[in-house]
Amino acid sequence: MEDEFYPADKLLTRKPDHDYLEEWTTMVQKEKVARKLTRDYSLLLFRIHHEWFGLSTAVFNHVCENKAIHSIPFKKNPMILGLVNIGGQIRVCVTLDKLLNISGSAEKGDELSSVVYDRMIVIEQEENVWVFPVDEVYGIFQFDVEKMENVPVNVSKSSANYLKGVFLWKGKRIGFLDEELLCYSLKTSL
Amino acid sequence: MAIEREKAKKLSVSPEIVQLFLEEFSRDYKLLKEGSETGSLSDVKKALQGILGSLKIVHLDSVIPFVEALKGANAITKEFCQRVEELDPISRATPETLFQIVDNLKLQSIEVENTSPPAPKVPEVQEVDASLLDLFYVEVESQVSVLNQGLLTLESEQGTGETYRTLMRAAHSLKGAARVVELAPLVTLGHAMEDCFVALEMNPDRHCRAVMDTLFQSVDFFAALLQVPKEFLHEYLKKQEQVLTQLSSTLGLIIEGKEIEEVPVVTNKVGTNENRPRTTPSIYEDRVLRVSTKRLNCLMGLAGESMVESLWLQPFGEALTSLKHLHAEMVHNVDQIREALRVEDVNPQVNHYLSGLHHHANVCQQTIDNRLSELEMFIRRHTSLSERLYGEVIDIRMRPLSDGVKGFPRIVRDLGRDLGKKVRLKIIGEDTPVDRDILEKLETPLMHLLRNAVDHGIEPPEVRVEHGKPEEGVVTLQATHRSGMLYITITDDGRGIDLEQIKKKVVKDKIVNEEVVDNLSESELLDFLFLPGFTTTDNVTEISGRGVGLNIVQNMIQEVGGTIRTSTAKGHHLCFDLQLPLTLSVIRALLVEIGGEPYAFPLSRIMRSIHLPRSEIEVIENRQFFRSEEKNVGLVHSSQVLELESEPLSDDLIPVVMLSDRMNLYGVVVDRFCGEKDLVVQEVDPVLGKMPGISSGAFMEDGSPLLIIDVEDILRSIDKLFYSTDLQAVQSTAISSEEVPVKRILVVDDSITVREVECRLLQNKGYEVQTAVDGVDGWNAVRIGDFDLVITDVDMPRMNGIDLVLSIKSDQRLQSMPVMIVSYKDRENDRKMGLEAGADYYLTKASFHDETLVDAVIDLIGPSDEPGGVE
Repeated sequence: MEDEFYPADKLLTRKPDHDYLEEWTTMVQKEKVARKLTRDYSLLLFRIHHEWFGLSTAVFNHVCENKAIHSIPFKKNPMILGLVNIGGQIRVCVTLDKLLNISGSAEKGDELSSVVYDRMIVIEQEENVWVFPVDEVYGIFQFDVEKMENVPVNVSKSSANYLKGVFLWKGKRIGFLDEELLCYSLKTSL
Repeated sequence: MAIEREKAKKLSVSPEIVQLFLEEFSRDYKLLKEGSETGSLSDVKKALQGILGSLKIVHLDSVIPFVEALKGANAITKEFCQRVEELDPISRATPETLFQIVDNLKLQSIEVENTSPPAPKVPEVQEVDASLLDLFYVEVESQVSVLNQGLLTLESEQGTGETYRTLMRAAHSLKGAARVVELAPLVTLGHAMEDCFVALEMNPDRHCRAVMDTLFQSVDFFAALLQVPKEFLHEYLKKQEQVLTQLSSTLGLIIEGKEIEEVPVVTNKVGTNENRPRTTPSIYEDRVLRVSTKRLNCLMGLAGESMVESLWLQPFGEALTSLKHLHAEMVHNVDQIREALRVEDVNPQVNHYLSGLHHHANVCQQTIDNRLSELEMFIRRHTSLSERLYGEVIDIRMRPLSDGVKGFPRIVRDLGRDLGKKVRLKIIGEDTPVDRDILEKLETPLMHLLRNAVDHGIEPPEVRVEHGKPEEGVVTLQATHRSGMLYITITDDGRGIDLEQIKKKVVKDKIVNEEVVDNLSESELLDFLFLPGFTTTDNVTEISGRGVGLNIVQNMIQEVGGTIRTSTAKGHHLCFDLQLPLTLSVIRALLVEIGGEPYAFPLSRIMRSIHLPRSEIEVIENRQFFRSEEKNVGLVHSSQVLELESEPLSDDLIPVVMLSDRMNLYGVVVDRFCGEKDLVVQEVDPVLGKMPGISSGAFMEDGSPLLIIDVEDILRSIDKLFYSTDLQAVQSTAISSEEVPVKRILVVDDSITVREVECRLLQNKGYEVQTAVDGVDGWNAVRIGDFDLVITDVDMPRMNGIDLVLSIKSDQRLQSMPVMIVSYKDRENDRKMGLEAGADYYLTKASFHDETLVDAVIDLIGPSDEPGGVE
């Protein structure tokens, strides 16, 4: 009587046949190929004028539309554009142009997106919040650490300081920014 | 036989082990003797434990019972110490003689007398989870205030059955909480308190000062715990063993109905005010949440932003409504065409298309109608929601008055006790909401006024009775909202102020002369009390009388934007009336435009705003000014003061904001006026520090930021401007000295003294020096700045000097820069490591004379004034 009531049981507890065992023995016996542990950097890609940069998502807070910037009286620091309203709080808006020594204007082939909007990027590191305007934000992508290249010699000395390396991607050269140095520099320049 | 067994075992214990045993034993024995001399039971126990352990390893079993008996002792008596001495020979043994000595000892298992009083044994304290301790602290805080309140009620003879029950519950909660965090001594104390309350309820006539004092002290013990950081809590409890024991035993006596001694008052003025976490949001019931200020600010910002965004919806909805009308007209046009075409003969194709058009137009119309009405409903819901959210968040700023004054009744009572007076504090309007910032700033002035009231105001009980007043003096603290302001009153029913005394003092100190003094009104006379240094008492007590307090009270209240007034009736009462704004976070301001951008002047800080006709501007010595009410007002443009760009004004009427610094009047020209507004004050990101000329920020209706002018700062800048324009004319072109590029040195060291010394040394020699506090800081700085030389320490947190040197030398751009190591480490190995890493010099701090360092620097990069540094 029991056998009739549990046919599924019978199905699931039947002994495997010979061929089946053979097949799986061979498969388990195969030498295991050690999977390479890829360390990926997750970077937000954005463009300022002519150049593309990647910034670690660890410090990335959010992207927003261009906002009204209020100048700061007495301030002569060329890096500071002024004050903006981010999420109901007044924050400092800087420009990375001077810091990264970005010269030249954008050219035709620079863009990656089909429609280009200028935006502001908000980053946060260790209690400090910084906002800077960019010409284009493309998105967040993973980059294999093995593929990172040295900063070429002809990149200017001052901006090269801030790059950990360079990625070649979709025909563009993406400068991988050193976020710690960047924030440190911003903090000390105030 | 035992001895033979031991001899056998002895052969199996190796000499090295025995040697180790002897070393360890002598250490423990030393601790044991010290412990018994100083009377530290815990040290003694620790030592005995150690000895027991090591005895077991070398199988000296005969000694073990003896040591165990010692361990079981509760107190360190003379007998105890004598017994300890018996272990002396062992400490002097050598591996060969050890077992022989032990055999000869014939130690007996003894009963060590237990002579300590039958006090409840204070059990051991264990380690406990940190987050549980956090909760414990919160529980202690709230129960302590409940207990204080209840005890005060009991003391003033107003206790009911409910009071006792509340007290019992509070003590019970404390006991339970202590049990959760395994703090057994506190469990004992809490239990004793609970039993005490039960006993008191049954025999209310047991109340006396001593009993109340003991209870208050027990509560204070718990309150004092709040000051102890979590990590040191059980250490603290161990140290307080004596106190706890005494408290518990006294409470025990009370419970048993026995007489207790009058306890000297240990006024532990731990007002719960100091312990209050500043970041707790307003609570009207029991549940409390700890929230960081950063999160709260973020929440407030987002709520405000949400409300600003929702303001966009209404105009959008209206724009769509006009779209709807346009569309209706379009449909109407289509109908007209159809009408017109009906008259003539028309191509049926055209008719067909026209019908199609008409049909689609109607569908379109319908759709717009539906979507629009949905949108309108959404706009209503959303606006209401974001307004309510914003309102709730803003209300978080408000706390009930009781939060800030909880500790006051207790303090007043204790103070009265100290001075031998009977005083009670009555609080009316405990639930009145007060801005948390204002509440914080009020604590000190209110406390001072209360102290004054108890010290000077309330008379001693006998005097009061003589005058027909009740023995107990009452100080009343009352708070209400009225017509948009917060009113706080402090009244005492004491002796009041004798106006004649004030008159005499005023004349004596030559502040005012005799004739005038008689004409002064009561309020004018009372105003003198607020003068710094003014006091009518001749003796200064610890509490008051120095003549400093009231002046400071007035300053603090004025800082908040409030006023304080006094009234009195001699022999009857003295009353202080405080009038305060409801909140510091909203100010009324005049909006203006400067350089095309919005700024605001707080209305309370400006004299007036006018439109000045251009014709009224006069010029003297190149300076512009105008006349207003018989005074000359200097004129200056706001953009010049703030060093901003601006366009010249073209109108005939010039907008001018008039400011005053008590002596002079100034007129500041702005681009235009934009009306008066209530602004919610926003802090500007603190990373900028204090911005000159600006006090804070706010937002316009559309969310764009504006800056609020700091009028005092501005006035200083204007003054400077006036001076400098004078000097500018005088200054001829100064001889520009040849610019020699100064050599820059980076000093990296985690010790601030070393940094300072090296820095000063090098600066004196003409170098420009920058410092870094550790390796990472140094590595960052060296990559950004342009240095000619780096001087670094070796031992630093985060990244040490060697790694820093390695990083520098392996970096393409920085390789060629000279690096010098200056370190305390002077072993040959360290020097080698430093030089191998690539350092160009290795100096030791020990052999470090001032000249050595400078010589090395000059050697590496030349003197500071020599041009041509390292590229």
